[in-house]
Amino acid sequence: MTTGSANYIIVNRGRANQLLHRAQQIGAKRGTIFLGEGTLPSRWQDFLGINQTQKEILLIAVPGAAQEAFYNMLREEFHLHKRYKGIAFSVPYRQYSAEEAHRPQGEEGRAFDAPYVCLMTVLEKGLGEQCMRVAREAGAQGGTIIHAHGAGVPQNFVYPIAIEPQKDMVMIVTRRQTAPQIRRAIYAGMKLERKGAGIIFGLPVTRTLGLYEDNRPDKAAP
Amino acid sequence: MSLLKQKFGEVLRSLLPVMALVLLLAFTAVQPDATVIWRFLIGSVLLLIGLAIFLLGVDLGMNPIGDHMAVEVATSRSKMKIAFIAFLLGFLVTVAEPDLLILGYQVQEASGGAIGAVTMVYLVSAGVGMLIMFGTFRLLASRSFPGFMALAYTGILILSLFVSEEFLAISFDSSGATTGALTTPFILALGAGLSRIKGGKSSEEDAFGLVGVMSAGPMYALMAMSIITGQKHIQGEAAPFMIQEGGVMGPLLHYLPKELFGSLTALLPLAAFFFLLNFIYFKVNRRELGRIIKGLIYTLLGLTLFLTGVYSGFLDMGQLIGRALAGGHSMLLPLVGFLFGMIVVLVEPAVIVLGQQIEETTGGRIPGSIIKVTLSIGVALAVMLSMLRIMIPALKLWHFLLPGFGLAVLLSFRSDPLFVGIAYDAGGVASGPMTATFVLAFARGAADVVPTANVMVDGFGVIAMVAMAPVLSLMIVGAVFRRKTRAHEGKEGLAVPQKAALPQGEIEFYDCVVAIVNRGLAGRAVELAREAGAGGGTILHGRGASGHDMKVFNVEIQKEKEIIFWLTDTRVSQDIAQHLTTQLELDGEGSGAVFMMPCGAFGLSHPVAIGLSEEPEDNLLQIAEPTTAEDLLPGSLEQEALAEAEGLAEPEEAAPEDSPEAAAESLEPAAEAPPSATEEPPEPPETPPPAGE
Repeated sequence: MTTGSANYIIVNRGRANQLLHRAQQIGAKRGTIFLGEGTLPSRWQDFLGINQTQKEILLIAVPGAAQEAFYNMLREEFHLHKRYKGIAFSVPYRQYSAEEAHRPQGEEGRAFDAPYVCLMTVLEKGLGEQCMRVAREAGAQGGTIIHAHGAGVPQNFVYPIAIEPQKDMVMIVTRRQTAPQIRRAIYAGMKLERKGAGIIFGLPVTRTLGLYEDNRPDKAAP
Repeated sequence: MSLLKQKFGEVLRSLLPVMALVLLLAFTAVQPDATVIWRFLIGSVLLLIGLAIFLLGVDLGMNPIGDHMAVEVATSRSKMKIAFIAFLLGFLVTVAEPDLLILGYQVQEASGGAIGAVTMVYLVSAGVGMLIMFGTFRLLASRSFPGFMALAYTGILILSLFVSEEFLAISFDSSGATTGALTTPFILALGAGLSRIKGGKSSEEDAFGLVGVMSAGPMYALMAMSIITGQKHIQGEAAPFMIQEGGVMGPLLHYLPKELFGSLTALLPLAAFFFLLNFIYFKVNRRELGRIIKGLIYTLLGLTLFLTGVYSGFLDMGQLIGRALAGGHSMLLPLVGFLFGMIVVLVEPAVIVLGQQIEETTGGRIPGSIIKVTLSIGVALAVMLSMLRIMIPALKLWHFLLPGFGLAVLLSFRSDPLFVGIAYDAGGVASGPMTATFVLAFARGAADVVPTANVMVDGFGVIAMVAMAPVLSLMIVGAVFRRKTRAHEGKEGLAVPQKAALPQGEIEFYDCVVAIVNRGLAGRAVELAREAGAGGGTILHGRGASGHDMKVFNVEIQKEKEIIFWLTDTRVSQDIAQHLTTQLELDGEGSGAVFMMPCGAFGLSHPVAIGLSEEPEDNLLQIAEPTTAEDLLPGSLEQEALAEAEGLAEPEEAAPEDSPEAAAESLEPAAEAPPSATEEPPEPPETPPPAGE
């Protein structure tokens, strides 16, 4: 029943445009690119303070028919199955349109199978890295930090400006089995029970390519 | 690709053309000693290493400091405090700039002691402080930026009528000296931080321009000083030219401790001010503080290596090339000047920082390359015209500066607002340490040999030209850009509505609703969604392509988008989508999209969106209000999720709430994987049990 999926493709800065063009040739309609930072677990890089890598994230909807061609393209032209080339994953979605405003009922939409989960954590700015460390201790392999901001809250300082609270959004793709423990660790480690500290949610992931843990099966879980 | 490697690559790409051109000239026209060539090569290596480390330091140290300062300034509740911090920041980053002190001594000497070097440094710093203060108020009060700058430049124009040509050159030069390698990245970061915290529709345009504002400060200070003290003439003697002594390594050993000391003094006041404010207000956590300190150390080391490389390797080479060309092949001077201007400016530290910041701020929509190309063409023309000025005595500095700045100010009202800020910044950014050493040495070398040239006026004028030309060239591109965007926007919005994918997904408790809208609409979208029952959203900056993108100079400009994530109750997500689509007219191609992803329902054992009470309480209630509160957010469930997350409830297996099939699946993911997944590397046969079970 999955007729389309939203694909997240995380690649090094500067490659997303090319990717978007190729995807459009294959049949995707439009995509949106945003910037993020990857994190790699390496002790000496961490010591030197250079453990971040700059990434671009392409969010693109690909129709079900083109899905296979799309993944082949990622593998053959962008070599995503190799290490450090980037990762891709798919989340099923439904798009709103006026003609089909009915809601799916019952088993209709459950036919997809989601071996992975994408955990999204929204935190205050600057805490993304700490969150990543907590998640890594709980078995996560890698993650991407995206700088975002909350909706503006007008405040009365000297000038009436709408302060936009800056946020870090941490995106972690992991196996479904490890997801609960990572989620719990983040929840406890980042003290999300405090009001306003942040939120965490998971998206079902039907397909992945190039995940760190797939490339390093020996270290899949601590 | 690690960050350091990336920086090295970036610097190397800009440095290689410079090395190629210099070596080509060295082996053909100039033929200097082997020593000079070796020094140049060693200097290049130092420059490469130093600049890469410096850029890393800016990322880790200067940018966060700028951010924290910006938050403190913008969220202040008293005008006095804003004024005080902004002034002090401008003052402190300038007062310790080593170039400024050198210039101060030059002026002191030339004026026969009438103007003290230290007095001048304080005056110029105060000028910068004042202008940063005005610039900050301008930004926070959302006054027109082109208007502000037009006013600032009109003031300079009026003052310039009263000062001599020498003083005019010195004033512009001091503006180049204050926008040094350290100051510019910091002020850039400050501006970006201020605009980010201020937010709103113009947050992008506001991110730039503060450097441009700052560079007017020294001009005001010096011209005012000239008028008040009645000091008109400066008889400068440029130091007689000689190749530095001491073999290949001599100059290097001479400059290394000197530059280390200079960079340290330049960095200290700012660092001290940061630590002071950190102690009183920010109180950043230990890890971030450690990172900032590492960043500051990188900045210091990088800057030292960079400047040592430039001084020991590039200074002699520049003068030698200038002299040799002026002596033997003077017709080549403008051409070589053009080429130097074009490629040398790309090695300026601040130019690289600016390019990065433009990409970050616009979410990658404006590629850094388009700015760099425009900038380097502007600087190339500036250096070429300076060479012509050295060769033809009838051409005066103000023949170029006056119409150049005049045109730029006029164009600023017709140019894309984002480009206006970047253009004014570019002047200060382009006249950095590479111009001040290498290009200036080249010009002086030429002026030395050409009999009609005045080393003082013509030599110094180069920096003024370099500070002017990119402002103009970027304004022109900005004007073209605005025309193109206007024309392009007219064409859109008529496309056929796209047919949506089939709805799918059994609805559990939460949906992740994602809306992609054009830039500037996010605020409205959040409001609309709130009306339809959503809570607060999280907004990202992105860029999108709809198939027909416009091109400016063959560089593709994509539309800027904002992406908004909401976590909503499934029962209202459809309403939210409908409300957004109809109100924002998201049906047309290229205007945006709304889609919903089932969330928390699969993979996680519970419908989890814990800690959703992130916004003020009313949001949570708003989610519940449309129907009945108990229906939508069963309290028991939430509590269960909370308890479980805290590890109070019994640890659960993979998916107790899922259907049995799902649980089975999760135990044998490989076996049940869809056929498409077979290409993936085989999964390990069994998953080790999660920790703690």
